Amino acid sequence: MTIPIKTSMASMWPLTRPRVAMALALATVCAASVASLEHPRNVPFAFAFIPLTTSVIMWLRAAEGPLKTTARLVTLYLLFLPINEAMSVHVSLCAGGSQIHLAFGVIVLLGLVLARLFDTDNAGTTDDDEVSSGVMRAWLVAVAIIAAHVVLLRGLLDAWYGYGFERDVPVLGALCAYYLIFRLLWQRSGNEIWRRLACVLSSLYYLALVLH
Amino acid sequence: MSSREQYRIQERSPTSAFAARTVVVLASLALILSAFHFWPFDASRAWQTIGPTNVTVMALVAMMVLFALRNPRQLREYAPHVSVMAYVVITVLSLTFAPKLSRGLSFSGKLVLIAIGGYAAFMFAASTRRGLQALYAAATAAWALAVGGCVIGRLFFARDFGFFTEASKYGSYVAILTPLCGATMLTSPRLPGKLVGMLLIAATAVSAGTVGCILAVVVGLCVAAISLGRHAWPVGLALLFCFIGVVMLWHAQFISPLRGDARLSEKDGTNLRQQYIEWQALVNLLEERTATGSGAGCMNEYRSEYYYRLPKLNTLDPFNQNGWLTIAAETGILGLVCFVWMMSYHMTMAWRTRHRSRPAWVRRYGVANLAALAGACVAQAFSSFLFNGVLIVAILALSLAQAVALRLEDSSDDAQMPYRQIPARDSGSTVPLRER
Repeated sequence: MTIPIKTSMASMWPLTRPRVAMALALATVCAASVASLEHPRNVPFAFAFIPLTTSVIMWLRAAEGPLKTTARLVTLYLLFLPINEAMSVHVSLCAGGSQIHLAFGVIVLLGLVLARLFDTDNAGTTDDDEVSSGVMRAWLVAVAIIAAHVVLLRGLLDAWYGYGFERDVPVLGALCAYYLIFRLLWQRSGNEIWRRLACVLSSLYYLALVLH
Repeated sequence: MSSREQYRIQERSPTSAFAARTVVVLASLALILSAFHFWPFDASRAWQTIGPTNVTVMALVAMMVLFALRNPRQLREYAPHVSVMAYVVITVLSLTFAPKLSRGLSFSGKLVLIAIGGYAAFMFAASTRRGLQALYAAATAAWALAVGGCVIGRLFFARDFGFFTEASKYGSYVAILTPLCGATMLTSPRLPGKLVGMLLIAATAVSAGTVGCILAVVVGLCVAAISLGRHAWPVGLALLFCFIGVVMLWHAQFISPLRGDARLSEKDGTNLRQQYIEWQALVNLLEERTATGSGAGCMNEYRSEYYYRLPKLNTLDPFNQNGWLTIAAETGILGLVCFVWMMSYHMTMAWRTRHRSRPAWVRRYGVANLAALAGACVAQAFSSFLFNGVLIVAILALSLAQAVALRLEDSSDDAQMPYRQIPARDSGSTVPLRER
């Protein structure tokens, strides 16, 4: 009996798609990091050596169980910080002779959505792991808590003082954007290779911050 | 102590029976001392750092570290749940943004000590039924001391909140302990226990200085009543006493702090109307610092940039803020997610205890733990429980929820061996949880 060896590009494609997804997700985060480094920061990193040290520690292999869950969360936290900085950056694009200003947050989301589309390994699957579902529920509750406060503030303070709430919608928008980013990256962060690569990139970013 | 019990404590070796008892005594002592807050030297920074409560907690944590060094397996056995660890780690990482590292380190250092060391110590102390009872008894003593001190202080010494100096700190402290100990006492098989419980709950209601405290106590007790079902009549009676007490004393001088808080005018430093202005500043801060936060314990450094208008009086201290928003503003949205996960996980554990366990005493403690965590969640909306003695009782409530849940299958009434087996989720089978 002979075992067929898959050599054509078409047969390699299913194996390559998750890697493309992985590369796309990391490239998106890289782009956010570069964008945040190139623009003046609105949130100063007073002690950038803390995330730098942490991202180096995160290179180490995390065992199964609580340590791995903590490592996944910390990795995403390290990636969230440059994305936070890049959110306030606007990119100008020339299209048909007119200038289009695009918030970098939209580009981050688009990049990650694209990565998710390529991610055949996880497409259509749900987080049935107890820890994952616990974290996801916590996300929804956390966003609901902030949303409830915003609604309450609008109802009470508007009635008492009658001044504007210009920031309400952007706050909720930012929370939803971070929820989507977390949702898109959470399963990826369970992949050991992806997690380590993300930490290497984070280390470079925080090293650049320290040297800066 | 029976020979059987002694044998089992010794069997828990390599930790000696003496050391195990010492942990129980120190944990109980820390709880009782937390009721005194910083009294009598409230303004002294040195006393706030090396007061008896902090010294006891440090001794307790040191003992747990020694146990862990002697037997690393114990570290895993009594370690906090991963949600607690995750929240603590994100809090420490948020120090990246602390403009003054000393302030952030002080806040997060205390959090790490109590959330990890204190949690492990409470879990260890609660690993035998007698230890568990000692912890509940110490918590009840602390509750009685805090409420009694407040009533006596207000009547005779012109101290509105007894051993506490702040309405919100007193409110958060009793808002966690009242459902925890009140539900335990109200479900006691003995009538005197029930009566004392009702009396203390009524005294808590009339001595409370904030609407948030009253609300947290009521929500906590309602959760206990719902969990108890047809056995809820003592809880209903206690709530009725609270209502009658507050209504009867509404115009009395004794209840003036609560009246001031409910008036919704910016005439003191902490009332609800002022809190709403602060909430708005924190929400505004979240737009720019959604992921980064302002650094643990450092919210005040940045908050002033985000007010629409300043409060008439001075701005509020961090512990007077809405705790949920404070956590989001200080540690970012991921810090809030980890905190919500921590609370929801422990509430789920307490809920499962209520429904799945067989022995009545485990059910009773399960109801009390669930009520305490529900009260803590409501109290957190009006002030933060991550400070000083309030943090100790909050961590106690979390660790007790976990400790009691892990004894689900320990059905023998005089059982001393902890954590035998726990049913696997969504299946009838049991899986060994902790093997010794």
